[in-house]
Amino acid sequence: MKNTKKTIWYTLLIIIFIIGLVGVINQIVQGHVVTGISKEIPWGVYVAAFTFFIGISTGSTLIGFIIHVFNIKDLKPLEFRAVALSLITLIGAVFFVMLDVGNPIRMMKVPFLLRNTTSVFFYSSLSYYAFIALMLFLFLALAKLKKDPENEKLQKRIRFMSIIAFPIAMVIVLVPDGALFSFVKAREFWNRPLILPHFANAALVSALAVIVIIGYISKKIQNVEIINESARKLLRTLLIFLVSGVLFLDLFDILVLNYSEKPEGLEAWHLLTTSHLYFFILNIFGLFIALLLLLSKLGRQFSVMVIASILIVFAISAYRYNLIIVGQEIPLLEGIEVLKYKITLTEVAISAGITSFIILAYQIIMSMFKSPTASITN
Amino acid sequence: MEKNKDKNVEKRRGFLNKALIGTAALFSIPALSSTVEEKKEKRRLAMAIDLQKCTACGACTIACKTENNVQEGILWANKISKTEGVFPNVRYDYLPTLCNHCENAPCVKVCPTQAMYKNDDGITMHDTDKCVGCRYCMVACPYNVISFNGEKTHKRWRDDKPIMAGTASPIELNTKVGGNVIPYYNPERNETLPGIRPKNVVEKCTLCDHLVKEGEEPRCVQRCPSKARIFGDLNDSESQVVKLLGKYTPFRLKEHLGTLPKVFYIRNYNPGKSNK
Repeated sequence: MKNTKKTIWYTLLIIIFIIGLVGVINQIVQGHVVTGISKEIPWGVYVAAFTFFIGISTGSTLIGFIIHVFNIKDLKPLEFRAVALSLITLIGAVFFVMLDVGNPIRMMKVPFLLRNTTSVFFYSSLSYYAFIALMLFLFLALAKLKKDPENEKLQKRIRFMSIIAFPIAMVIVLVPDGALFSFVKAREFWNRPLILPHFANAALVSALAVIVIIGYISKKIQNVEIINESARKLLRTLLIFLVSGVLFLDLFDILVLNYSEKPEGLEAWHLLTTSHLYFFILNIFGLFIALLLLLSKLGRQFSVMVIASILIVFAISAYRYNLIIVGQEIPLLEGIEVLKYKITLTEVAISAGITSFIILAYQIIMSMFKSPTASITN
Repeated sequence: MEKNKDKNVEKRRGFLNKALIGTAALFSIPALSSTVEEKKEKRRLAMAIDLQKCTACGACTIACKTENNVQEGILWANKISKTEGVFPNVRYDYLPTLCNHCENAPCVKVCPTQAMYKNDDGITMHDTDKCVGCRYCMVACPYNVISFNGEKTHKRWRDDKPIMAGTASPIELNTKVGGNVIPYYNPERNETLPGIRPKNVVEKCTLCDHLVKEGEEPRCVQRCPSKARIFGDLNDSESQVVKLLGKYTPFRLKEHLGTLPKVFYIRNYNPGKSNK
C-alpha cells in the first residue's frame, strides 16, 4: 500500500515534469509569444516564481545559522535537508530565469564575459554563482560528514560555511534581488525602500514554512521524525515572529498606497482590490489566519502548524505574484492602454514542471543521502 | 666599498625614476588623447515636436516602420491618444512618442551586458549581439518605448503558402521583388544595426542613426507632412531645435525622474494636462 502511494506520487510528479518539458519545447519553437508578456508587462509569472524560489533558497540558510551560532541541536536533523532545499530551489529559480530571458546561453556569460557594473542585474547574477558554489560546497561537506561523522576538520568547515551562508544569502543575494525592483524609478509600486526588508522577511517565512511541511511529510509518509517537540516550539516561535513582520509590512504598504494619494499608489490599490483581489486576499488573510492558528493553543499541534505553513506558502507566492504583476500593470503614461497580464497555458505548464522538478530532485537526493533523525541526534 | 654601495643606490634610484616616468607616460597617452577628443564638442542630438502642427496623421509611424524594417506589431514611433468628456464637450489628446534618448538613460544603466549604450551623438543605441533578452530595459524605461521580439520576425512574409488559391505565396512575392524577408526591405538599415532584428532581443528607435551619420535627418522628421518634428543638435546654438526651445516653453515626459529626455514637446494645446 505504501509503495503504491509512492508510485502514484512519483508518477504524478514525472507526468507534470513532462508536461513542463512540452511547454519548454513549445516556447523554444514558437518563442516568447506563447507567454503572457507584452510591451507593457515585460515580466510575468517566471519572474514571480523566480523571486519565490530564490526566497526559499536564501531563507533556508537560517536553519544552519541557528544551529551553529546559537548551538541549538534540536534543529540538527534539519540541517542537511535545509541545505539540499536551498541548493535545489536555487537551481529551480535559475531555471525560471533561463526560461524567461530570450538568450539563455548568452545570459550565462553575465557577469564574466558580458557585464555592466552600473546594472543591479550584474551583481545579482554574480551573487547567484557565488551562492550556488557556497551551497554546493556545504552540501558536499555535509554529505561527506555522513560517512565520516567524527571528522572534526570537516565539522569546523561546515560550521564556518553555515555561519557565513546566512548573511551572504541575506545581504549578497537578497539585497540585489530586491534592488532589481526597488531601484526601478519608473515603477512607483516597486520604487520603495521597504521592498528590501519585505523581500527578506517573506523569504525567511516561506523557507521555514516549507521546512515545516517537509518535516511533517517525513513523519507521516516516511515515518522519520526530523522535527521533535522542542524544534517544533522554536520553529513556531520563529514563524509567529516573522509572519507578524511580513503582515506589518503588508499593512504598512496598504496605508502608504492609500494615504500618499499619489496617482500610482491609488492605481495600485485599485488593481489590488479589483483584478488582483483573489491573490491580495490570499496574501493578507492567508498570513493573518496562519498567524492566528500559530498563536492559538491549537498551533502547538504539528498538523495545525502544517496547515498554517501551507497557508503561508500560498500567501507568500501570492505576494510575489502581485508585487511583480501589479507593479507593471499601472500605466506608465496617462493615455496608455491598460493591459492586463494573462498567464498562458505554456507558462502554467512550465511553472508546474519546474516545481515538480524541484520536488523530485529533493526527494531523489534525500533517498540518496539518508538524513539522521531527531531521535538519533537526541 | 662605500662608493660601490652609493653607486648601486644611485643606479636603483635612476631605474625607479625612469620606470615611474615611463608608467606615467603610458597612462597619460590615452588621457591626453581623450582630452583632445573632448575638445571636439560632442553633439547632443534632440527632437522637438510641435503639438499644434502635428495632425496625428501617423506618417511618422509608417515612415519609421518602412525605413527600419520594423516587425509587425512593433512601433518604434508610436502615439498616446486619449478621448475625454461627453459630446459636445469632448477633448482629444494626441501625443507622438518615441525613444527619448535620455541623457541619463535608465535602460543604459540597467542593461546587464551594455547592449544598450550611448553613441557619440548621444543617441541610445542597442547591440543585438550583446542583448540577452532579459527585458530589464523595458521594465526600467518610464516611456514604454522598447519592444521585445518574442517570435521570429515578419512571420507572415516567411509563409510559403499562398493566402488565396492561385496567387503567389508571400515568399514567392518577396523573392520576385528581391527583398530580404520582406519585399519592402531597406538595406541601408543594416549599416549600423541588423537590417531585420533577430528573435528574442529588444528593439527601439535609433533616431535613424544610419541616416544621421550621412548628414540626413531621421525619416520620421523627413516625412512629417506638417513639419511638426524638428531635429537638431542641442550644443549648436544656431540649430532650429535650440531656437524653438528658447522661443516656447517646452515640456518633456516625466521630467521628475531625472532621465533628461531629449524629445521635447512644444506648443501644447493644454499645458496643464500633459504627461509630466
